Amino acid sequence: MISVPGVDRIVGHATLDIDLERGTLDARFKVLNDPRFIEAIVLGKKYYEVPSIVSRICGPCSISHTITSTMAMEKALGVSVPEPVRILRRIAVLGEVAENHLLHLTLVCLPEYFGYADLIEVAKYKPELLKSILLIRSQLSKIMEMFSGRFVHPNTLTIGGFSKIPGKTKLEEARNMLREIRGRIIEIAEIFLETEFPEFEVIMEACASLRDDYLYIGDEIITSDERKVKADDYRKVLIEDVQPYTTSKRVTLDGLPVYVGARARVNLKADMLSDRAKFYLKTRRFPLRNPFDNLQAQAIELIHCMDAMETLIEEVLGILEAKPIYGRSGVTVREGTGVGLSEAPRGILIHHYEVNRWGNVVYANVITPTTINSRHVEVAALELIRHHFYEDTPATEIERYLRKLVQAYDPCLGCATHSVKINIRGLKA
Amino acid sequence: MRIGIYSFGGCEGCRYWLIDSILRVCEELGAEIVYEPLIGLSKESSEYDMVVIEGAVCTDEDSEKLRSLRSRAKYLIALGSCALLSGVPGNKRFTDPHAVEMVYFGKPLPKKPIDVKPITAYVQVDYWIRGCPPDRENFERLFRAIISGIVSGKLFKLHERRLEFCRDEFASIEGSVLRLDGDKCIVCGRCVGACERMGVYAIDYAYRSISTIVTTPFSIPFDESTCILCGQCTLVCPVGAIHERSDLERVQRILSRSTALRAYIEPESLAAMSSYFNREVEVIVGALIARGFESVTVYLPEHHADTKKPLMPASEAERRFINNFYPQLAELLSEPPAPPGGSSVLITPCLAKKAQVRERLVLTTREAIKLISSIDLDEVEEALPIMPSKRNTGFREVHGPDNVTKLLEEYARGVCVKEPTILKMCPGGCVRGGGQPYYNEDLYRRIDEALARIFSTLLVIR
Repeated sequence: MISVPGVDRIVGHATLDIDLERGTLDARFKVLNDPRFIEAIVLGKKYYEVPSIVSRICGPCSISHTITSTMAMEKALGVSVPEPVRILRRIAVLGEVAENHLLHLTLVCLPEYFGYADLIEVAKYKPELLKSILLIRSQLSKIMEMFSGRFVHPNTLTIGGFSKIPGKTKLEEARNMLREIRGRIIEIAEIFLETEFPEFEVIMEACASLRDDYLYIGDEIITSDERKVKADDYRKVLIEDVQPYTTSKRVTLDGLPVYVGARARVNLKADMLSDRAKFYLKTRRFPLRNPFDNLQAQAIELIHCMDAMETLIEEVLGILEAKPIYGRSGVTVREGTGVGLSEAPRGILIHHYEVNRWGNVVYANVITPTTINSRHVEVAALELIRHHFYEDTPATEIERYLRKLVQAYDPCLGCATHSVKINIRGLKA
Repeated sequence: MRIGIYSFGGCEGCRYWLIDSILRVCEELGAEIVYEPLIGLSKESSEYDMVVIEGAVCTDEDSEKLRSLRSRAKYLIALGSCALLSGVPGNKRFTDPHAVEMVYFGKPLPKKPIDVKPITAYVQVDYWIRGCPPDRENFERLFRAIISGIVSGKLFKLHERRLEFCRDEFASIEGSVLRLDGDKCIVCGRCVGACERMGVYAIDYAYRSISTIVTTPFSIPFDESTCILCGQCTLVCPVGAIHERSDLERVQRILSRSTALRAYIEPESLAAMSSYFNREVEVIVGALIARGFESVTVYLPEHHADTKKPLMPASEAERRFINNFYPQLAELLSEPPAPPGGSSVLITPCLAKKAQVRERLVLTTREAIKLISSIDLDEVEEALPIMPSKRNTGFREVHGPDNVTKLLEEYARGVCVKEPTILKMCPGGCVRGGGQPYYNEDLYRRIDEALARIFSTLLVIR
C-alpha cells in the first residue's frame, strides 16, 4: 500500500474569520483554493518527470519547487552534482527571491501603504515609479532566463545539473544588468525601510531557517529556541494536520505556531547577509519582532540578493577562467529516499520522495512555507485584536489592519494578498 | 472596454508572469482592468466586456462561478494550459483514488473536489492563449489583437471559425458531356476513387492543405484528358458537383411543342425506373406516353452493333478507353452502336452515348426519372412497350474494368482467340452504367431483380 500524506499549494483566495462572540477569541485563516493533489499525481511517475510536475504547484516560486524536488531526487538516487552547478542554482534561487519580493513589495503592497486604492492609481500619480518597477522586473526576468531557461516553470534545471549553462558573455551581460538595476532597487527598498508600521509583538514565536547558506539548500532546520533538526527528521518537529475549514494543511512546530520567511531568515542569519544589507538592517530595531516587519526584511533581502548574485556570478566567471564547466552529472536509477530542504522566497520548502528500483515514485510529500505560516497568521491576528483595539473600535478599522497583517505575511503571493475577505462576528458595524 | 481576470485551480503562474504585459497592453489600448485581485482590484463587476480565465475547474463552486462569469461576459478568454486543457491538475484522473484521498489524510475538505476539467468543458470559450506559461511576446501580440478585435468588432469567436477556411479559388472543369463545378465540390474524393477503380485516372487531387481541389491534370477539359466519359464519378458524388450535360430541357421543349417524338428505352433503364418508383414496367411505359411520347420501344444495342471487327464496344466509353490506353488495338475496333436517329429519344443507362453523335437526343435514366416525376403514377394508363423481335445473345460479353483490361492485355500480347466480343467498361455491365440513379444499395438490388424479371417475362426470345 502506498501512503500519501502531503500538502498542496495554497495560492489564490483566502478568508480570515475572527469570532469575538465566544468567551475566547477564535481566528480562522481559511484558504479557499482548489485542492489539486499534486502529491497523488506524482505517484507512479518516473523520477525525471517529477520536477516539472511539482513546479506547477506554484507559478511564482516554481524555481524553488523545481530545485528542491531535483535535490530530493538527487539524494534519493545518490547523485552528486559538480560545484559550479550548486553556485548556478544558488543564483537562480536568489533571482527568484528578489523577483518575488519585488513584486510583493511594489505591485501588491505599495498602493495600500501609500494610501492609493490600487495600482492603477499609482500609475496615475506616480508614473515614474511604476515605470521603474516594470523596468526592473523585465530586466530581472531576463537575467533569470539566462540561468533557468524561463522564469515561470524553468526548463534547464534537471536532475544532475543543468541542461544548458550560460556562457561567459551571458554571465557578463547578467552582471552588467544587475549593476544597472541595483540603484533603482535600493531606492525602492529604502521606501519600505523608512516607513513605520503598526507596533505590536507576537509572543508565541518560533523561527525556522536553514543553516549553511543564507538562501538555497541546507540540511538542518534551526529555530529561534535553538533547536537543530536534520532534514531527514523534519517529521519529528513539523506536524501536519488537516482542518475542516481550510483547503490548506496546517503545519506546526510540535504544536506551536511557527513563522518562516524573510523575517525569520533575517533574525536567525543576519551575520550571513551582505555588507550593504547589514548596513540597512542597522537602521531597524533588531531583532524584527513585529509581523509587519516582514516587509522590511523583504526589502533587506532584496538588497542582499542583488549583492549575492553579483558575487556568485563573479565566482562562476572565475571558475570559467580556469576550466570549462561541465554542468551535468550522470544519473543511475536505484532505490532510495530523499528529502530536499531549501529556502523558497517565503520560507522553508521541503520535498520528500521515495523511489523504487525502477525509478518510479512510491511516496511523495511536500511542505510549503505558507502552510507553516497559516497557523501563525491566526495567532498574530488574535494578538493584534487583543492588544490594539478596544470594544468601540469600528469594524472597518480592524478589518483594514487585519488585511494589512495578512498581506505582510505574503502568503504565497496571489493567495491572501488583496482577495482576503475579513469576517468579524460579534462586532457592531 | 472592461476586463476582469479570474483564476481557478492552477499555479497562477500565467497571471503572475504576465501581469506587467497585461498592464502595459491595457494602458496602450485604453482598456480598463476592473477585477484583478493580485494588484488590489478586488471589487467584482456585474458585467464585463472581456473575462480572462486562468486555471482548471476543480470543484463545483468553480463551475458555478464559471457559468455566472460566462453570462456576465461578452468575451471569455482561456489563458494557459490549465484553462484550455486542464494541465497538470487534470492528471488527477489517471491517479489512484485512494492515493488522492490520503493526501488530506482522508479528512473532509471545505470544498468537494470533482473531476478536473478544462473550462471549455463547461462553457463556450471565445478565444484562447496557449502555453504553460504563455510566451511573453506571443501573449502580448495575441492579447493586443484580441482587445483591438473586440473594440473594432472583428474578433471571430471560436465557434465561428470554420467560415475562415472557405476556399476562394475554384477550379471548374468543362467538357462536352461531363462538368465539374469547383464551388460545389467538398473534396471528399469519392470520384477520385471511382476513377481509380476504372483504371482511368483522369481526375485526382491537386495542391495542399486547404487549397486541395479535385481536378484533371493541369485542369484541362475532360475531353482532352484521359476521361472515357463512363460517368462512374457522377454516381458517387454526394453533392452533385460532377454531373453530365443535360438534354432534358431540349426534350421538354420538343414535347411541349407536341412534335411527334419516339422514345427508345434500354431494358436496364426500364428496370431502374420501375425500381425507383416501385411500380410495374407497364406503369412507367404508360407514364412516358402520358408525358407526350408517341411510342415507347425497348432498345437492345446489340441489335445495332457493328460486327465487322472483333472488339465491339458497347459505347463511346470503351472506344475512348482503347484509344487512350491500347492504341495498338484501335484497328480491331468496331464502331459502337449509334443512338437511333430521326425524331426519337434514347433513354439509356450509359452516359458515354451522349458523346457519340451530338445532334441526337440522349437522356440518362436519371434525366428520364426527372422527366416523369411530375406525373401522378396512380392515374396513368398502363401500356406495353414495343418489343424488339429477337434478343441476340450470340456474342461473348465482357464487363467491368478488370475483365476488360485483362482481355485487352491478352489481345495486345496476341495470346487469345480473336473471338467477337462486346466490351462493357462499367462494373457489372450496363445495369451499373453512369447514367443510372445515384448509388443506393437497396435500390441497386431491386434494379437487378427488376431486370431479371424483364428478361424472363417481356424479352423472351420469340
